[in-house]
Amino acid sequence: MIIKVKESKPSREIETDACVIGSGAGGAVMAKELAEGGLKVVILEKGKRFTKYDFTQKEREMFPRLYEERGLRTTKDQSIIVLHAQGVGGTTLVNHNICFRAPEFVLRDWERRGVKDISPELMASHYEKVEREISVSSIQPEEVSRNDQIFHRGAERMGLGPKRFFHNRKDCIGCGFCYCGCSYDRKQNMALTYIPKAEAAEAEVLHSTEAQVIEKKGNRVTSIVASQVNGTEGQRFRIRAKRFILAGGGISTPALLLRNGFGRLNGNIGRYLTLHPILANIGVMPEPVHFYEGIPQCEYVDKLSPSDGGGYLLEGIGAHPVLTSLSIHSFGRKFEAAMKEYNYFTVHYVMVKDRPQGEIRVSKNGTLSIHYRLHKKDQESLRQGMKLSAQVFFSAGAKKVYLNHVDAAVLDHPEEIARIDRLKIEANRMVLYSAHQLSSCRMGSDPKSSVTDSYGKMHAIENLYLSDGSIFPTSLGHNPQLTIMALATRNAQFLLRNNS
Amino acid sequence: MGMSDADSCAHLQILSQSEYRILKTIVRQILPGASEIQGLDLAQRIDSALAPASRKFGQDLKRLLFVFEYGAPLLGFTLKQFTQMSPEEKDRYLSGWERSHLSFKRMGFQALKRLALAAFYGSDESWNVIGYPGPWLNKGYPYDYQGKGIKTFPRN
Repeated sequence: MIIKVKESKPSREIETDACVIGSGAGGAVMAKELAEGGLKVVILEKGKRFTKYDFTQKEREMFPRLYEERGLRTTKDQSIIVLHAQGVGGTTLVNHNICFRAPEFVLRDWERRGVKDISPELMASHYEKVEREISVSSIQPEEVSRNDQIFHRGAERMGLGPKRFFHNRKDCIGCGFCYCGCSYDRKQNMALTYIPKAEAAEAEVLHSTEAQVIEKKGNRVTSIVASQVNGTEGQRFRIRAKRFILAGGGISTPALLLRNGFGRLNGNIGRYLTLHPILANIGVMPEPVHFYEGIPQCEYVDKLSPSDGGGYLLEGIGAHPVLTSLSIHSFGRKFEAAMKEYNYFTVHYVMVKDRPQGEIRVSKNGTLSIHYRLHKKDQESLRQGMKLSAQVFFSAGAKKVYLNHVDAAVLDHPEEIARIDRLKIEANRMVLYSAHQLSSCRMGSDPKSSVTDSYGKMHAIENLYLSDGSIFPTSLGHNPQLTIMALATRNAQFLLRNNS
Repeated sequence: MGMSDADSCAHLQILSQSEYRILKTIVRQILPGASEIQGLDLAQRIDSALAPASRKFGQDLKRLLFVFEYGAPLLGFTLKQFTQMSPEEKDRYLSGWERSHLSFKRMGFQALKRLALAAFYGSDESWNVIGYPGPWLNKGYPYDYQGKGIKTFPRN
């Protein structure tokens, strides 16, 4: 049975061993490992192939170029701004290079949910391999930005034990424009690490090329039809392969499957989405901080809760004027006066380890929508994170706090922190972001409750694999790039072992 | 609506002249100082920014502007259209959307505010106002991490 074939007269037919769709943390690693394992690999990437000369350090120019839907993507109710990059290297082009291994309690939870070979002990060698490839190291004390020095001071005074991040940058110069792409090639992203190695092993990268139609016969995918996008003349390709790996991320992977009718085969596709909702708060210091300079994120306080699987991280963060302005409530002269204190800002964000409350849906005409509502326990995590953030600001010497909530936009004194207990935590009373879209096609042993098996192979389809954050059984609570890459390494090895 | 020639724009790509005037009035309330900068037309900039995006965004904005302009009588605030209100009434109307118990009004307010902020704070004109130095490309390196500690980037 062919699930869906649109009008297509591809101008180029390609035969290959493996076709990887997406070139971010999951796709690039899978492509390199398979190519080095002796397979002929073709990589399809919807975005362009950027170089450091394309990155202008201007939000207004880089958001439309680098982010899906020109940076305008939100959840259906617009309560969460959903950031996801496109381009060779995927979101590793624009992330803040934070490298965490998955918390042990999360991997144990995934084991309990039926995922095989996922214990911290078994995953360690995969993490080590990835960490070598992308040059992971600890941020050094002399590299900590002024913003994070203030964060450290406040957290230390409160006895919170702030920790320093590991990251994958080499010789960073601290310009602070990471989310606009690195103009100096210091970020060790996929475009500079895994993709060149994949190409050295003769993988072919087709950038500006979007996979659109999945052609299937019986329980095998036979080919993918893709079109050139981004304004180039729309050449179409049909890629026939022995195996296909979808690695477009937690939104694009389920969207492609749903557009091609796979929702009829597995009702879990697109469900159980998590977003790691992020809320930024601003403190105002008596002295200039220039919080947008330096490595954007250097330190954090861990408030994850292994007992209930939730909690949050509190982190220092640098940002430029557009993203910063969105977190200040009010409007008019009062708002403009607040922005004039920009150089005195110090900024935190609260990132919640959320429950699976979201869903990706695709309408009959192919339009994507992201549905999400914060779970009550996650609302409480957000509230506790806001409170702790305000306490850390005042502890560090802030003279006031611009709280990211419309009903308590300014706190002038620590005693006002108690107001946070009475705030309604509901959509569009705060401005939230998501930089991590996860668990929308989760792994598991039971096809009734999962989309793929323990190694990312889709249930009931012989040769279709998923390799991105969508296969996480739950949210992670930590930045996911390292875990996506470690899982891709593990799953590539499994795929090569079972190559016959 | 009592608008002058200054409230029309010859270079619109997705908005009609009347939609442009509504948007310009909203932006003026959200960012009054920015709206006083000579030669800076944030409503036109929003129109240009949305033109290459999916049609969905332009259609959503048009619908939102219609509801915002003509919704006041329907939503029980006043019999006036938004653009006909006094500055104080406009502020109260916007504030009502910002803090409303109706989620679609809060959503609408946030959407309009985000467009205005992105149009202004992404631009060089705003950087002088807030003291942001802008890109560092071609200006040299801000820090020296070679064991000498953090150095401040030289400013004008």
